[in-house]
Amino acid sequence: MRILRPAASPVNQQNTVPGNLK
Amino acid sequence: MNYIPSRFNALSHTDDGGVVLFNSYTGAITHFSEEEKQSAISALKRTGIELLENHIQKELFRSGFLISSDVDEMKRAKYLHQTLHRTDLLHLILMPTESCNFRCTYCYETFERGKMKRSVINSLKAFVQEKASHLSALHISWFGGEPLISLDVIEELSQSFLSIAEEKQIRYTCDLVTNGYLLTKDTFKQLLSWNINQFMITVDGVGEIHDRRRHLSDGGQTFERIIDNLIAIKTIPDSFNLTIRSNFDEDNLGDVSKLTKFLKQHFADDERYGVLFRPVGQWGGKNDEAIPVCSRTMANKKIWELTDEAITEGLKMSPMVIESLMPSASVCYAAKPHSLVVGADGQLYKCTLSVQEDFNKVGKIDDNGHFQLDYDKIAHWVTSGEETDSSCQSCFYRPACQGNHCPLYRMRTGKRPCPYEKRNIKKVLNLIWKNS
Repeated sequence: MRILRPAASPVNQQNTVPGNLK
Repeated sequence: MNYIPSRFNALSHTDDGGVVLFNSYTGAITHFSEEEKQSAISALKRTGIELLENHIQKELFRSGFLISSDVDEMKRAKYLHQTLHRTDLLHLILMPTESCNFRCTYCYETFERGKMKRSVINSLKAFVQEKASHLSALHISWFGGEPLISLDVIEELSQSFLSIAEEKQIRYTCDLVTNGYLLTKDTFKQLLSWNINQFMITVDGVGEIHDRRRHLSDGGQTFERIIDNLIAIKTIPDSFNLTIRSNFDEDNLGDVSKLTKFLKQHFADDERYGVLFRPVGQWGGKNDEAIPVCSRTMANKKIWELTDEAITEGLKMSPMVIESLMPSASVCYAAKPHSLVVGADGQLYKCTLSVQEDFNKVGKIDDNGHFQLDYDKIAHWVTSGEETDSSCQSCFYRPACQGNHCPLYRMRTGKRPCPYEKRNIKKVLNLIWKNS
C-alpha cells in the first residue's frame, strides 16, 4: 500500500478549455 | 456504525496488477498492490462493512474512500462549493502588457492595448494595500500579452505586493505564463526573487514545426532561443516548477513524439520540468476557421497517449495535472468569486478568453484603487455550475470541478464543460501512479 497523496481538509484548500467554443 | 464507499471514488487498475484509488472530496490517491487489491475492493462493496478490521480498511477510511454511513455527501459537496465564497483569498490575473512579440497561428488575443497604464499600476498597489488586512493568501498570475515585455511593471508591482504580504503576514504565491523567448537566465533569477516560481512555456514541436506555429510578429524563428533559455535555467539551483506545454492539432500531432524525444535529452534529468499536452481549439481567434483542430474523441485520447509516452521516456508529467484533482482545484478562476483579470487599461474581466465581449467586462479599477464591479455580470460567471446541473450534482468528480471547469464553454455551447482529466480518469490515475 502506497499513499501517493494523503487526504486533505477539503474546505481549507487554498488552490487560488474543454473543446471548441463554436 | 457502518462504513460505505464514498460516491466520490474512482478506481483504476495499474500496469503492475494493482489498483489506484482516488477520492475527489479529500484529494487522496492510494495505490494497493496485487496482493492487497482484493481486500481493498471487497471492503468497498455497496452494502458496506460493519467494522474497520485491518490496516487496509483503516486506510480506506482515513483517506475518505470509506465513509461513515451517516454522512450526507451531497451536503458535503454543497458546503464545499459555498466555501469558494470565503473572502480571505484573492487571485488576480494581471496583464503587465497586452502586446506580444509572437503571432501564434491559433492565438485568440487581439493585442490592441499595450503596456499597463501608470494609473492602473498605482491603483493596483492601493487596492492590494487596502484589501491586505483581510487576506490570508494572495495569488498573482502574470499573464498578457507576453508579460516579460513589461518586466519593469512586474518588478514594480511585485515589490509592492511582497512588502505588503510581509507586513500583513499573507501567503504570497505567483505563476507566470510566457512564450519563453525573453526568459533569459538573468530574468528568471529576477522572477524567482519576486516569488514567481511556477512557469508555463509552450513548445509545439522541434525546430521548424514549432516555428511555423509560434513565430515572432515579423515571422522570425523562436524555437532555438526558447530551448537555449530553458537549458540555461537548469543551472539555477533554486526550487521552481516549469511546465513545458505542447498544444497540438492535426498540423503537428504527428511530430509531437519527436518533441518528446528531444525534451527527454535535455530535461528528463531535472524534476523541476514537467510536460503538459493540450489540444488547440477554436477559441475566438481570427484564424479559427483555418485551425485543423482534432476531433473531440481524438483529442481526449491523444492527450493521455502523449503523456504516457513522455513518462515512459523518463520525463515528468506536469504537477498541474495531479493538482487539478484536488477539491475545488478544477474550478476555473472565472467561476471563483475571489478571482479577477486586470487588463492593461484597468478593465476588469472574469475570463481571459473572451475579453472583447460585454458580458465579460465586469468592472473597472478607478484611480483610487477601488474596483467598480457589476455584480450582476459576476453572478453570471460564478453561479453557472453544479447549482443548476443535476448530472454534475451526482458526478464522482463534483468536488473537484463543481460543474464549473469552464463557464464560458457552458455558456457558448450549452454543453457540460467536463475536464479532460475527468473524462479519462482511469488512464490519468494510472499515469499518476506511473509518474510517482
